This record gives sequence, C-alpha cells and structure tokens, in this order.
Amino acid sequence: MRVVVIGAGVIGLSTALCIHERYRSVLPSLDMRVYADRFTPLTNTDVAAGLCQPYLSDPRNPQEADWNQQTFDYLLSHVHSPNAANVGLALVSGYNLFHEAIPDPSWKNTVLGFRTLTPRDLDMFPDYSYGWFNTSLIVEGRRYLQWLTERLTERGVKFFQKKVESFEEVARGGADVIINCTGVWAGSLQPDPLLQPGRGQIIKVDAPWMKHFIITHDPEKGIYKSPYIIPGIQAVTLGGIFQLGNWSEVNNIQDHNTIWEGCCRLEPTLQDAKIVAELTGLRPVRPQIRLEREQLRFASSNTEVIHNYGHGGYGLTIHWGCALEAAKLFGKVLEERKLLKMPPPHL
Amino acid sequence: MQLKLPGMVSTALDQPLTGKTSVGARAFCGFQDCFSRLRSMDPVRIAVVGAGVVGLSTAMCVSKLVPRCSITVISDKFSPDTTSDVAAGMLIPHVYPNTPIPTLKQWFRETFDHLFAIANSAEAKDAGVHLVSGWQIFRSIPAEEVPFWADVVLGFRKMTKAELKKFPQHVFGHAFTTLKCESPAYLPWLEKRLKGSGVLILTRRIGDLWELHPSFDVVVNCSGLGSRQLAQDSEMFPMRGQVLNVRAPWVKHFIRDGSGLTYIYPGTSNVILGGTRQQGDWNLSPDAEISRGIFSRCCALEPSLQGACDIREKVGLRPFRPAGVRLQTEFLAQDGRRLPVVHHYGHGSGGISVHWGTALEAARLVSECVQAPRTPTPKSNL
Repeated sequence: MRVVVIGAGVIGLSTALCIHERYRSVLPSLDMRVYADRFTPLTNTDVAAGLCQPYLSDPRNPQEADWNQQTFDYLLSHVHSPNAANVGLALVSGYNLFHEAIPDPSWKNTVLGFRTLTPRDLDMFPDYSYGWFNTSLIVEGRRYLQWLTERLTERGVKFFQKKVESFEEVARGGADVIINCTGVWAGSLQPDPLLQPGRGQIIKVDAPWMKHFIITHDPEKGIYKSPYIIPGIQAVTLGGIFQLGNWSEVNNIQDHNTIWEGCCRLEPTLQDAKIVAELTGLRPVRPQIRLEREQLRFASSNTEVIHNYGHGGYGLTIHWGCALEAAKLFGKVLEERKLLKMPPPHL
Repeated sequence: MQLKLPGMVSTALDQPLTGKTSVGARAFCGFQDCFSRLRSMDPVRIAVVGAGVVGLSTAMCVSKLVPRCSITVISDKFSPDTTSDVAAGMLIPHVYPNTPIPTLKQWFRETFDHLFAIANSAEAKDAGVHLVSGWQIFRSIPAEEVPFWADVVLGFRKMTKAELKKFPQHVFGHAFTTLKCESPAYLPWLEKRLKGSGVLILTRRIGDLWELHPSFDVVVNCSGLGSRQLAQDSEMFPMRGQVLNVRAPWVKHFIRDGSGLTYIYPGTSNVILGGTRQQGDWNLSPDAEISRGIFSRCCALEPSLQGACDIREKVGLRPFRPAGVRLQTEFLAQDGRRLPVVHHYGHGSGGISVHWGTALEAARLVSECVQAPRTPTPKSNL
C-alpha cells in the first residue's frame, strides 16, 4: 500500500506521522513517501510565530473547535517532557487586547489560567481598554518540522523534493492513497475558489526580555491586521499583516513600517531590539478547512485522496486534531479495501 | 592638614580628594569641623559606602531628596562583583521578623512601582527590568493562602487544577506576574545615572568608618555583610546561596517552590536555578555536589531543563541580620570627633525586593541628619 503525502509543512508532516504511528503495525505493506517542492525552512509553517490560539469567533465547522482542543491537549502533554525544547514546544503567557469588552472565547477553558485583565494590567497598554490574560503554548515551526522529519525518517518514510503537477501523475506513479496537504497551493492540483492566500509578513527580533505574547485586536480591521508580539524560543516575532488575495512572497517596505511602528507603540522597549530576520508567508485561507475524502479515477483504478488543507492562520493551532481526523479517514479507506488484518487501532 | 590618629588605617583618603560635581563641591583637603559645614551654605559631603543595589539606590534617593549635597559612592566591589549580581532579582518579598507587615508592604510596593515604571519605559532593556509571569507552588496548603503582597504584584490568583497538573507533587499554588530586576544591568544603569547627576564613584576598601572623617560630613553605611566589621555588628552573618546560570531560552515562566529553596527564574540572557540557604557559611567557591542537587531539584519541576546548556555556578553571601534591616542613624564619637552614620544594611534574602522602599527611608534619615542643628564640638588642636 503506497501512500504519498504531498506537502511538507506542519500539516503534511504531522498527518504523515499520525497515520504512520497508527497503521504501520497493522499494515506491514505500508510504504509512505512525502513529496514536496519546499521543505523546512522554506515552508509557510516556518514563517508562523507558532502561538496556539484559535480565532476569536467560533469556527464555521464545529469540528474545528474539537481539533483545536485536541491539538492543545496533545502538545500540553508533551511540553512537560524533558524533550520539549527539542520538539520546539514551550509554555508562554500573555495578553489579548481589545478596544472594548467582548465575550470570553469558546477556548477559554482549553488554555490555562484564563482571566480578564485588571485595571493595573491595562495601565501597561494605554491604547486598549479591555483584555484577557492566559497561558498557552508555542510550537516553533522550524524546530517542530525538523523534529517531525527526524521521527518520520526513523520510521523509514522517504522524502522527495519535487513539484507535483497533478494527482494523476502521482496516481500513475503507483500511489494508492494521496494525502493532499498542499496548503495555499492546493488550487494548482484541483481548482478551489474558496481557497485564497492571506499574505503575512513578520519581523523577527532579538528581545529576550520579552516573556509574554501581546496580541491586539481591531474588529474593524480583522484578524492579524493589528499588531502582535509573540516570543519564540530564540527570537520574538512581530507582526500585524493580513492581505487577502496577495500572492507576493517578497517582503514589502510599507508592511515593515506598519509592523515596526505598531509593535514599538505597543511595547516601547522593542525600539532597542535588533532585527534578525524578516519573512513573508501565505496563510492558506478558506471559510473552513477542507478535510475530506475524494475518490479519483485514473485509468482503471481508483485513487483515494484525503484532502487536508485550508488552515488559514491557525495551522499549528489545529494541526494534530486534523491529523487525527485524516488518520480516521485513512482507516476507513483500509476497512473498505479490506486491507486490515486486525481491527483498526483505537484512535 | 589631616591628622592621622594611631590605629587609623592609611588609605588614599589621606590624600586630598578632588573632584568636580555639578552641585559645586570644592576640593577636599579638609580640616573642617563637619558641623559648621552643616550650618554653612557649602554642600554637605555625603559618603555612601557600598555599591550593591542598596548602596547605589540609596545614593540615588539621597541625591533626589537632600538639597545641596555632594555624594561619593565608595566601595571595593562594583557590579558584576557584588552580592546583588548573584541574585536573580525576582520581586517576591521576604518577611523580616521584627518589621511590621504594613512597613514591609510599603517598601515592597514602592520598589515594585519604581521598577514597574522602568519596565514600561524605553529604559527597560538598559536597566535590566522586565515583567515575568509564573507560579509559586506548595506541597501542602500553606497557612496563609493569600500573602500580604498579593495586591502589589499583578494578576495574583490561585492556580487552577489544570495548571497544577504540571506539578504532580504539589497541591496548591499561586499564579501571578511580577518583575525581575537584573543587577548586572541595573547597577551599571544606576551608576551611569548617578554620574550624570554629579555623584562621584570611588573604588576603595574601607576598613573603618572613621577613615571617612573629616572628609565627609555624613556617612551612609550600605556595606551589607561588611557591616559586621564596619558597624561592628556581630549579629550579621552570611546566608550562603549557590545558584546555576543556564541557557534555556524556552523557559518563559518562573517557578518557585513555596519553601523558597528551589526556584527557576528566567531572565534576559539566562535562567537562574536555585538554591541554597547555608547559615554562617563564608565559602565563595561553588560546590559541585550542591550544583548537582540544584539541577536535579529544578529538573523535577521543569523537565525541559535537562536540555539546558552553558551551565555556570555562582555563589553569593546574603547579608543576613536576625533583627531585620537596620535603618538607623548613629552618631559615632571618638576623641572629640563626631561622625553621623546612617546605617542601611541587613536585607538578607530580600534586598532587591525592597531596595527602593528602604533607600527612600534611608534618604529621609540622611535628610533629617543634615537639617537638624547640633552643638558644634570644639576644634581639635592640631
């Protein structure tokens, strides 16, 4: 049984690992490969700040709320292990700031220690009048992708650098199941008018005294268009850019200025911070994640495709829940093809 | 001409001390009776002994509170070689047995407010002051569930069950946000500001406070453990603390075991792991066995520390005084000479947490000393 995962960002690699962990033992013939034209550090995952925080509003697909929770719980169970830093995981606390009171988010009990801000907290942020404090997790994209790659390599999964032009090409190459984790470029394999790039630009600075994330919100502007500061393991990510429909992967000077001015206004100590990198990424924006099966017919055989793309700006936040769901779908494929020698493992 | 009395240690202070200050002090080549100076229009000459957090912050407070004075900070050790430099600088106060809680709370609040303003300004990075959140955890429910300082720090609350899951051996905890004041940055920052205000900084070892007479009119004794000799305070003893400085930049929260013996304090460039409290131990050399013990205790609370690197051992001798901080004016008298001394030492484990509050108090004592008229003593025959 040949499984080809297309895409080596967090979705591709975590889905690959999740499926391999669950099915290799009951499917000895499992031959899994990852095809991608970009690997870490050149994926969109590498640009992400990596803070686990879902959007404020409830997702269109209620399952996404479960997937967010599952991901958080899974990562939380790993953050207490000796290996946490190697995986790219850390606990981080911080502030969400608003111009007016808003209802608590549905994920308030998923994160740790959620509370609203006191007047003294708000004294630190004169432009804002309401907010939350909570403890969450960061998953550093680059480190996590390296860790996933190590785990997959240990398991004998092979990686191939190639630009896939069509599902047919992969099917005719011998793939029985294709896991489509092509993110923002999924449209090139199969047109999807619902999928658009949400261009983001970030500045990474050296500011090790910053121990908290600070995320501002401006409902009129929309998500990610208001300044945010997210400390990572080595550097601090400054952002606040979200441009729907913009495919440019090149850093833009006006965006740089918007980010810098917004973040320095929010946190004056950043003026002293040294810039270590500036990056652009394309969030794969979609009204909801496409996570479903599709059967394609090429020549005389059926090829199963499991789509797993369209995670917008919350890919790291939701990745493991989606991987578990994709693994469930994979299990169904195996059942239908009567390939399982034993009952499927309990997911 | 200065008279050298028998028993006086010869120091460079026997030489004229010259220097310019913006307050307009003249060169010292003194024979003056210090009290006629106190009534004259000449600036009062104040010596602050000690350049740890207590000495430098006291010099700062004196410079703001006492008009027409010239200040000289004198110490044998400066950052990074002071006791303060070893301390993590977490604003979590300690209790001094003879100090009323309201006083302690006032000192802590004044220090917190002072540092909070710095943390939120563009000076924060240079001054080494930043906010940090974390947890104080207990293996059994403490007698006092809400400490006196709960409303001084930010966002104080009890830990939730979900948060306590991280610490399976602990049943109760506090979560809050406080400040970290890192002396290796804070002390040089204070020093720079002091120099900018015309304060002189002198590297000298003082063996006896009388060495400062008659060059100075008032002495402020911030010599910490040195007061055992300088103030002949036999109650002072070291409370030895050993810590590890490690690189572990993924640790963003502090963790403190309720007893205070085991702690993890993340800072700007390293994480400080502690610690020990060894009464009466003067040994400044790190002990390898103790280091292993500290590392093991801290990894038990934060397993990811096993990936820490660049481990360095440090030792500091906390200036412990059983009666608590000594904030008191003493008029030294010997052979017809008088020297007012404001004592400001004995902060033990809690120096950085209350330094600004006690420095303000010390400055008030200096101010009283300077203003109060006194009967002049007769000039000695030279």
